Amino acid sequence: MLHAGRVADSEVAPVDLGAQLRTLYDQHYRSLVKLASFYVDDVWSCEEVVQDAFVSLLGGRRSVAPGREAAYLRSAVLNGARSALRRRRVRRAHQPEPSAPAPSPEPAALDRVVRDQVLAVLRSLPQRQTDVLVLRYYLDLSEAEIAETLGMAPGTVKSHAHRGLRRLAELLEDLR
Amino acid sequence: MKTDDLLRRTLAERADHVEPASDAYARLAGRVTEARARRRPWWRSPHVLWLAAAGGAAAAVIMIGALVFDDPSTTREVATTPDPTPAPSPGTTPQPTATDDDTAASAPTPGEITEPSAVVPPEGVVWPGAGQPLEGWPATPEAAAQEFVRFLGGWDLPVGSVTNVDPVEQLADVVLQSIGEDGQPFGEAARVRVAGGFDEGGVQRWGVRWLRSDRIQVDDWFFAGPRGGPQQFQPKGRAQAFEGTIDVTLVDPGGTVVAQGFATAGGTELQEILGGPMVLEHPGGPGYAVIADLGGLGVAPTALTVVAVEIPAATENPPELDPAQCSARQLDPPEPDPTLPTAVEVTRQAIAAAAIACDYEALAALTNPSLFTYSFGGGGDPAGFWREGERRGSEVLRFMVETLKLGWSLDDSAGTALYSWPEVFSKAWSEVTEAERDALRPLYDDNDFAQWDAFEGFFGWRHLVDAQGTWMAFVAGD
Repeated sequence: MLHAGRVADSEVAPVDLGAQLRTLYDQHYRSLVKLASFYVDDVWSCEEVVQDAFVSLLGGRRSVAPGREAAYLRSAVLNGARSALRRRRVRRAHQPEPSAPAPSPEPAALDRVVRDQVLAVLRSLPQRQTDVLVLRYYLDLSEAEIAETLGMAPGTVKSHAHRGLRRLAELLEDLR
Repeated sequence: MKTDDLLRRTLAERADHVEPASDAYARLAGRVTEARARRRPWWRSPHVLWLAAAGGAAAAVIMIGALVFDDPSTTREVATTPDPTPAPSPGTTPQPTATDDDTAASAPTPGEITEPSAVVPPEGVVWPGAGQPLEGWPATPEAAAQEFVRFLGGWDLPVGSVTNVDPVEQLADVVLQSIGEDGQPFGEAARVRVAGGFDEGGVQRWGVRWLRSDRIQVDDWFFAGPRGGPQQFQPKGRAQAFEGTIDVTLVDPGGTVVAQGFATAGGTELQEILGGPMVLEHPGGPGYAVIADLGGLGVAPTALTVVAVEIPAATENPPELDPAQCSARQLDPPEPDPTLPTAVEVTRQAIAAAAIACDYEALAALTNPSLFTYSFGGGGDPAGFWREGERRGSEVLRFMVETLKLGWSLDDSAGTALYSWPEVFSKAWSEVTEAERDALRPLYDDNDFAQWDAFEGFFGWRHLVDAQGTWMAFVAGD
């Protein structure tokens, strides 16, 4: 039984926090910044969105069940990325220059025009369809993982994926 | 090329051009540390934290009353002054109460105390849904309490504590000041930027509202939100479409309205529905808990009725502690474990020996004060904390010893090896075997297990010891 002298608390012990932060950072930070880049153009803003998500998760105001941290972060990044372009953010004093674009390691890279078209069309889809497609085709999440991230039923994920992909094909066909 | 292949390659190539800055981790660690330092929930602190609340959409959050804990009598003293602030009408967007720039001149000086105030809920007002049980709600308050209880903290809203309000962009500055048990401020007051229902860290300025008595305030709804998705909410001003407000009525178990207000919801919060049972005990006195299990509604209603249950007062006068006695006095030490590194095993046995000897100072001497965590509420006196726990009957030393007899696990995923007891602490609750659960039974009851079921993880007492034998933590809570 929990007694009065025992503290039921949702903060994470400092030792836990450091380890948790490091682990989550190593596992997810980079991919989340890239995830945000599908919504936000500059890398700095992408990082802001991802850092906001981490602070939201680990800042002591919420309790996320163990094992759900990644889904929470993905969800927060998606929401934050969409908000980033519409909301004036408080800028921090420390603003390093965005990282220089790295060359694509793939020799047979897509034509940039094609790539930009695909991204533009992707962004024009209904929000949830975009989210589902990005999570599925970039992060390779399962339907269950996408459902957890977006807070929707797996069947809805499948529906969004199907419709989104079909719509994407139609719009790209129109461009050709 | 098929569309899905094209999409996959497009996303991969786009991602190839994006790399985080080299100092990303350092900046992130600093931000997390800063956020935690200024956001310690009041009920977990030995001090009162009052939040002078915000303007714009953020100030849709009304924070009222004042609170103190660890000393219930103080709470009764400070929160009895009625405040004429009217309650917001249902269906309307609540307005800020003190958000103009011209209040800046009267903003409290850091360290200055603003007299707390309280709002008396209007009598006889029936709000939408008042007195009507929420669909799917447990039949009795007791049942509901087992489902989910969330303590809601109260914060004061001193006039003038909000400045630099930008109603268009929904920005405002608010002041944070900690107040000690003696009613005096301590530490530096912090001015925090709040934007559009979110603070600069991206944390939602969750909905909030009410109080009812002179003893506790209802506040902090940050995990409650109706299922149904953002589209179910009414847009709030120029805020994001997924932000919105919802009228909330609190009733006591007899159906009497004790408070009305509104909750804000937004962004990820709408997907952060409370997952299940959770019980948080008030550490220092009576108060209200709001029972809010909104999951399963299926749609987002425009108003909610939530039952608020008064929490019984903690034991007023626990007996004085016999220094020669403690809950671990009759216990046997743990069996030696040759599988542990020597330094870890030495620390394990030293902890147990000191606890069995009821020697709080010896226990404290085993800790490194700068590293050791014994309470998420902070403070620097683990011996005093444990002594007080024993005095109040929490048997903290018994847990300290018995926990070391349970299985351990090693986590070196973060580059620092940490040994933890019990082993189940490092597991997903669904992966905990029946045998492991049975091992916990002598220490914990069904309510504890229900919480961990809901939380999907163990958050009872646990030890952490690093590979060098440094005792890093003995703490409970999630």
